[in-house]
Order: sequence, then C-alpha cells, then structure tokens
Amino acid sequence: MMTFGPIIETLLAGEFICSQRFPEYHRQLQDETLQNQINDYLRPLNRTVSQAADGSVFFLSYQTLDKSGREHLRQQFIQTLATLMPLLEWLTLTQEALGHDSTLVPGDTIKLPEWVVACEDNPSLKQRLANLARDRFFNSQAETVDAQIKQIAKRLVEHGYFIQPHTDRPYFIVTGKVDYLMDVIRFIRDEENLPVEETPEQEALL
Amino acid sequence: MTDEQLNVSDQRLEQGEKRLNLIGRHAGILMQAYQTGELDALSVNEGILRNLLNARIIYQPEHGQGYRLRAPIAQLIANLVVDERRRSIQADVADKLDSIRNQVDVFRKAHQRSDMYLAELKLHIIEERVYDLVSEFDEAIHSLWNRLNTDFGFAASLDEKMAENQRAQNQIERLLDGLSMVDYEECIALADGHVKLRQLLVVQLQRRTSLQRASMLEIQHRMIELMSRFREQQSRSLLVNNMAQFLRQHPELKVSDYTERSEVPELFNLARGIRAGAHADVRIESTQQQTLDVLHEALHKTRHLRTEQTSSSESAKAMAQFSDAVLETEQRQLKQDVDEFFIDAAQSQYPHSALDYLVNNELRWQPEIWLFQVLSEYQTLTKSVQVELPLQRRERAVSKTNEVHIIEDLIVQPPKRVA
Repeated sequence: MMTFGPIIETLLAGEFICSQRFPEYHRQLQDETLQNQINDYLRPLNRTVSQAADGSVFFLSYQTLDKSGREHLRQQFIQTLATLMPLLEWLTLTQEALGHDSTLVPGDTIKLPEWVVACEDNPSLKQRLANLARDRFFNSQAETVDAQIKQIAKRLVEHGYFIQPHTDRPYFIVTGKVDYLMDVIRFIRDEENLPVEETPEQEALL
Repeated sequence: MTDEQLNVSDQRLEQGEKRLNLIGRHAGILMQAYQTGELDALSVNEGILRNLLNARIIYQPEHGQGYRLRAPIAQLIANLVVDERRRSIQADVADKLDSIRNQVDVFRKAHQRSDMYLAELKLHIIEERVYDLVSEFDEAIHSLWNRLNTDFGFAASLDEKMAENQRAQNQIERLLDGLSMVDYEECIALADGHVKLRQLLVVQLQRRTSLQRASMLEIQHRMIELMSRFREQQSRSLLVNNMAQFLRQHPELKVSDYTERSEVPELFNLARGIRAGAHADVRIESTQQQTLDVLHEALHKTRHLRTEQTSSSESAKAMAQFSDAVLETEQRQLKQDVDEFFIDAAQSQYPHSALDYLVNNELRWQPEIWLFQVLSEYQTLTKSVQVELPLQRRERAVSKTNEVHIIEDLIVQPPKRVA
C-alpha cells in the first residue's frame, strides 16, 4: 500500500507543497527516505522532487531536459519575469497599507476589509493599488478599491501565493510560495550583479 | 631613533596617568555633569576648569555656554554605569544572601539559648528574605515572558523591537549572573538539621531558583531565536523594497535566460503539471458511504430518475450493507468494463450503444446496472471530455400521465476527427 500516493498526485499536478497549503504532505516530505521513494516512483515520468527556500516549498523538476521540456521552462521563465514586478509591488503595497513591520511571510493573515479601508483612506495607496490591479498579471478593469483588491486576491490564490481557508470569509493566508519568490529574487540579483542590498549595514553605506 | 620613540611613549604614559588621575580627583563634578548634561562651573575654580579642558575631558561648545563632557568620557561613564548596574543586581543578591546567612546564624544561637521568641522572629525574617529574593526573579521572568509572547508588540518598528530584544538579552545575562550566586551546597549546609530552615532554604530557595534558572535559559534561547527571525524579516523587507525600487528605476533591465543553460537552476526547473484522471473508488472503505452519497446525488440531478428518489436511497442502504469483499471486486470489475467501453467508443468511428457493447462483449452485468454505471462514470468525466464524447439517452415514456422516462440505452458518439 502506497501511503504517499496523494503527495505524488499533488506534486504531479504541478503544485507547490508548503506547510500552509499542504501541511501534512509538507511534513512527510521532510523525510529523506520518503523523498527517495517518491523519486524512484517518478523516475519513469522524468520528474524529480526539488525544494527551495531551505525546504519551505517542494515541487517537481524535470530530471533530464528534452526540447519540449526546455521550451516549457523557457515560457515559464518569461512568465516568472513578467510577474516579478507586480508581485514585488503587491508585497510593498500590503506592507505599507497594513502598517506591517516587514514584508509578508508564509502564515501571515490578510483580512481584505482592512486592506480595503487602508487603501481607500490614502490617495497615494489608492493610486498605486489601481495601477497594480491594472497590471496584466492581475488584469482587473474594476473601478472600486474593493473590487480591485478582490481580483488581486483571486489571482494570488490561483497562483498559489494565497489560500482562502473559508470561501465565505474574506481573509487569506500567505503560503510558502512567497519564500520561493524570495529565492527567485535573490537568484536574479546574484546572477545579474544587481546592487540590491538586504543587510541594514550595507544599506546605511549607500 | 629608538630613544626618541621611547621618550615619546614615556611622555604619553605620564600624560595619560595624569589625566586619569584628574578624572578621579574630580569624579564628583564629572558625574554631576554626566547626569545633568552640563558641568556646574560655579562649583569649581578656574584652574580646575582649565585643566579639564586641556586634558580633553570637557569642552565648551560655544563661548558663554556651559561646559560639557566630551563624548568619549560620557560613553566611558555610560559603560561603567551599566557595569555598575550589573554589579548592583549581583550585589543585591549577594546582600540578600548575606542577610540570610546572618539571620540563620542569629537564629541558631537563639535556638541554642532556647530563646524561642527571638528564634521565631528570626525565622520570620529569613522567610521574608527568601520570599523577596525569589519573587524578584519571578517578576523579572514574568516580564520577560510577557515581552517574548507579545513579540515585543509594544515596540513601534522592527528596529525598536530588535533593540528591545537586545536589552532583554542583556537583562537575562545579568539575572543569570545573579542566580549563579545562590550556592546550593551552602543552602543545604545552612539548613542542616532544622525542618523549617530546610523548607525555606532548600525547598523554597534552592528548588525555586533552579526552576527559575531553567526558565531563564529557555527565555534566552527563545529570545535568540526571535532575534534571528527579526533579522530575517528585516533583510527580507529590505530585499523586496530595494529590488522593487531597482526594477522601477530600470524597467529596461534584461535578465539572461537561465533555462538555456546546460544545467538549468533547480529554482527555474518547474516541470509541467500532469493531471491524473481520477474516479471515485468504491474499494476504499472509509469513503464508501461518501462515494455512494455522491453517486446518488449525481443521479438525483438527472431528471429521469428524480421520481425514483425513495428506491434509490433504499438501494443505497442495501448497497452499503452489501458484503464489502463482494462489493469491492464487483464494483472494480464493473468500473473497469465501463472504462473500456468508453475507450472503445472514443477510438471507434461509429456511435456506440452501451447495450450492444454489453451483448457483443458477453459481459455478465444486468442491463440496468450496466447503464447505471455508464451514466455515472460519464458524469465523472471532465467537461471537455464530455464535449468530445456526446452521450445520448434513448428513452421511453412510462405513461402519458406523468413525466417518468425509462432509459433504454445510452449511445456514445465518437469524437469528430479532422480528416
């Protein structure tokens, strides 16, 4: 009897496994023996378990790359780059709007009404929100703050950055995929030698 | 050359010594200046003022204004005072312990003299002292836990939280130093042979302080963890904000395509999703009832069977009571046969009748059960597949007086192929 069938199915479907969305699977995947078993199973499918952000998220990678796999990755990479700016803007905007000490981390709760009120009360935030909502990634044509925020939240759920524990309640939980996003940002910064600091001392020097 | 160097360093030594002496001689007025921010020029004569100015201990920001301590001196005092405070906790503990020792001594002597009144009084004082000592640490621990549990919620910004955390960690170190002064062996020796003393010094003082010590070490551990979380949050915020700013300023930034590399970085190697087709599996005992419920719900939605509501729910009960083993194999086989029917229909070029298929393939299912399963399996197919494989019902009205129809056969149309 395979106990890890559901994990494989979830991974194969292209999902990111983090402790917010799939707590049980995420816990099980900490076990290296299980990971090896799953990798054995996935080998004929040309897939292997990968992780990012120190095991905060697990996902499937191609084991070997053929032409179509590479093309898929290329398309996906282009999409990742296109979503980078709207996602960064989303993170900075929510941090400012909600008056948080720091940018969102997995497990943080976002209550939409709070977010709406904060943006409605502040013309500059309201303008930034409108610009963000119009971005192709969020693709909202809505005029009201409420509708714009709802659309943003909906897209973030679709892309796995948010989960909504109860469909009838307007609050969302940030998933481990933001950790993945952080890794992507750091990777690009390091590869492209971008002068983007993350330590306060160095920032003071700038 | 060397002599000259020696002379110079000798001079420096001499000068340093003189100036340190100067600080010592005028410690009083310097401390007063530290506390109030300005030196009380009226309380010292001009000569001393000049000496202090020359020695770079004090300075006068502007003519006519008061004299102030130079920054290094003020810092030196600040450091010394912190140390003093640190010592003061220890001195406090040491003092209380000393007092306990003395009181125990007096108590024993009174006891020997059979001066019960004095002995009783001393015992009360010892009890009080022990209580004071223990509760002081208790309060500090309580306050530390409180700060920890609220994540330093009272601090307005992350920077402030980090500073508060650092302060708390320093406090813990001082408290631990203080606690380490309680010598357990001495407590046991002091209490020797007296029940009440033993109760106070061993049970109360020793056990409580050892618990407090454990608690404090735990707080220390958690504080350090929290601090590293704060640091992480801080660097994350900076990363996000700086990156966003950079990209805003450089919208034309070209990022090289990492997927073209011979070794694609793991981070960008996200395999395409594969959706595994799934069917309700009646073999799983735990979900059997659920499966049946879903099945019947689906059937209720079909207009034709709506009138058979009662019988279908009865059949659900009957099926639920069915022997598990039989149900398992039967359902499995039935499902497999239906799957094959759909595959067959999808691959052929002509419409497929479910009943004809049943007969042609000499399957052993009763026609009703067979149609029932085909219909329910069809419902589990995705919408896109259903569009590709249209299903027609061949129905017969039961009577002219009501809307009951009986399904006689199900016809599956093969997908239209582009020639």
